[in-house]
Amino acid sequence: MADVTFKSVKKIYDGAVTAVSKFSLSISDKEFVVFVGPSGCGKSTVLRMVAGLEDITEGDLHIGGSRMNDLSPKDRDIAMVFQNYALYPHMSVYDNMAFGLVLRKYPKKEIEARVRETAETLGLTPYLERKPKALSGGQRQRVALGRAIVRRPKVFLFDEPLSNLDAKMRVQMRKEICLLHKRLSATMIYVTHDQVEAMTMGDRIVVMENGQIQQIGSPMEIYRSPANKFVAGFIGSPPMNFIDYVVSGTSMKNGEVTIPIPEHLRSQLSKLDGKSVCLGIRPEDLQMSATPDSIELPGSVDLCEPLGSEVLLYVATCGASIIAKILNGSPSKVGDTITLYAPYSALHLFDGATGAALTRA
Amino acid sequence: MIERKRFSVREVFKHICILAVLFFSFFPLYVMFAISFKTNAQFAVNPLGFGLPLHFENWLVGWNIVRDYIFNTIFVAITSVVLTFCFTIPAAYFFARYKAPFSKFLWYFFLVLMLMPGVANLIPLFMIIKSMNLLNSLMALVVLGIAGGQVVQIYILRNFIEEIPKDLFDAAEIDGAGPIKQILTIVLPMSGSIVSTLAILQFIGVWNDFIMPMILIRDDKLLTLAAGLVKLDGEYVKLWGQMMAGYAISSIPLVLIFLFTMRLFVKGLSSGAVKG
Repeated sequence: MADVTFKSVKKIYDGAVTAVSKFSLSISDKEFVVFVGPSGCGKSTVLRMVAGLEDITEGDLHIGGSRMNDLSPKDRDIAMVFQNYALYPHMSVYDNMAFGLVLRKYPKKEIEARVRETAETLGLTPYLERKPKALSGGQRQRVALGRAIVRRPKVFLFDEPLSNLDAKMRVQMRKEICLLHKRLSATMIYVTHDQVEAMTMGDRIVVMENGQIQQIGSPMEIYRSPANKFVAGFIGSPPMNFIDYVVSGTSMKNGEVTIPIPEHLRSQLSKLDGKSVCLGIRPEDLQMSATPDSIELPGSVDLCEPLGSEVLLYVATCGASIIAKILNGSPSKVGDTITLYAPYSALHLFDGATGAALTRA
Repeated sequence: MIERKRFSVREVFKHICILAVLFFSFFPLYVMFAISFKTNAQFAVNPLGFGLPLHFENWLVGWNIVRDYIFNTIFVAITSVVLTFCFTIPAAYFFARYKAPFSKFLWYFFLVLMLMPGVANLIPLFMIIKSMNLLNSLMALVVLGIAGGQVVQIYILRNFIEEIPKDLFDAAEIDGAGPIKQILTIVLPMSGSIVSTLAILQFIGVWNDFIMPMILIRDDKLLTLAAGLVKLDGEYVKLWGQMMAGYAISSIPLVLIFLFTMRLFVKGLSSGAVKG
């Protein structure tokens, strides 16, 4: 069993800078968990604490039921894949992959068998004698993966492993890592700032900001029911649109625009009468044609971005600039006055002061 | 059409400067070799040119005189260089990788040692060596060679190790390499050129050291080259040919070392200049 448990883990640098706080999470055996968040949110710090490369200031970390806080990295039975590959430049691909096994004094025959088997799986057999500098970025990252796989560790750690690859290679490697997870059935923790990677790869996503967990859930849970404005804005591409309103009786007002509050939300929002709320609408939920039970957003088109199968319209409305993702193109041009419609069922409401999700409308 | 390269005044001036520098560098060497084949009489007639017949026996006499000095010097130089690295590489690794309490203070304190003039240390060093019962022994020179090489080497190696991506050490640590393994499997293979350069520089330093052997060694047979060559200079009679032959022989090992390691040496000097 390689479940990973964090209990109120905290990391303070130099006694002053709190990088991670109140971090509690339980990762099941064979689960693929993605930590996602903007730069500096503490996701890599958490990963490095799992690896043993950073000390844990407070709290407990357990892997497979054993407390890991004081164990050195080599005794934790983990493997890590780094963003910049971290391959030993003076060693061949074979030696890079075999290094960990050699240090652990595995028999030579077993090392060779494991390295060759892994190389075969990753398509690296022709490159075993090459030095890393003679490989492409994708091949190098595969070697880094291979170096992790040959050890057959309990937990795999990935620290933004695809960030240095071009877009095409990133998609390919994303698929390979997912297939690898299925084949190895190992616990994997993957750190990224790319929400597409987070949505497509993880069984569960942990969204982080300022060293704290903002939400934990499956990709679709997080997409459909973000816990707060930060998560709503971070997950989804293009990001969710936000428009501020003030609750006024049975409606919400933004200047001249008034939206009636749906019946089922009235009792909840009545407590916020006179206070501000933030309305969140995903760009893909905005339409150009009216549907029953939808709000109207009149505005003017600032910019059109045709992407082939869809077009992104940047529309100025209610004192905000929002993005609408319109499928199958749009006849609108820059400067046109249009009305966008969003069904009530697709609206998200957040507390204007705290950003916490009030409810899914 | 082939464009012919024209020589500008600037180019000509540059080449004249280069030739002048080369002349001043090589002329003394030429003079040394030229005289080494002469008797005193030939030297008096024609001090700078080659004179016939060539007296190769000067080289045999010279070799017999400097042979012991060369072996002493090689022993001192090699032992000092090897042992110095045994201390400087781990120390540089420590300063580069670990932020222990007071390590910054320790580092600056260490750097201050670089500013100490060597001459100011002569008497204290003599006293220390005496108290260690190492006076008049080659080990005294080895110990001083090791101590003298520390500061600059640690300073340069620390900067070099800091340039090695941190992730490499992290990966090695996860792979199971402790500090010593990391030094042996990552630092050493990756710092080959800089280590070679420092080794050559220290080797030359020990090879040419004159003051310490003069002060610490009393037995003629234990002298190293720089101090020993002075003994060739007779008080009443100077045998110029034999003296120069001895000098020439003693300079050959350094020339050979430099010729064989020139590429590494140049690479080491420029390492860290641009991001690799």
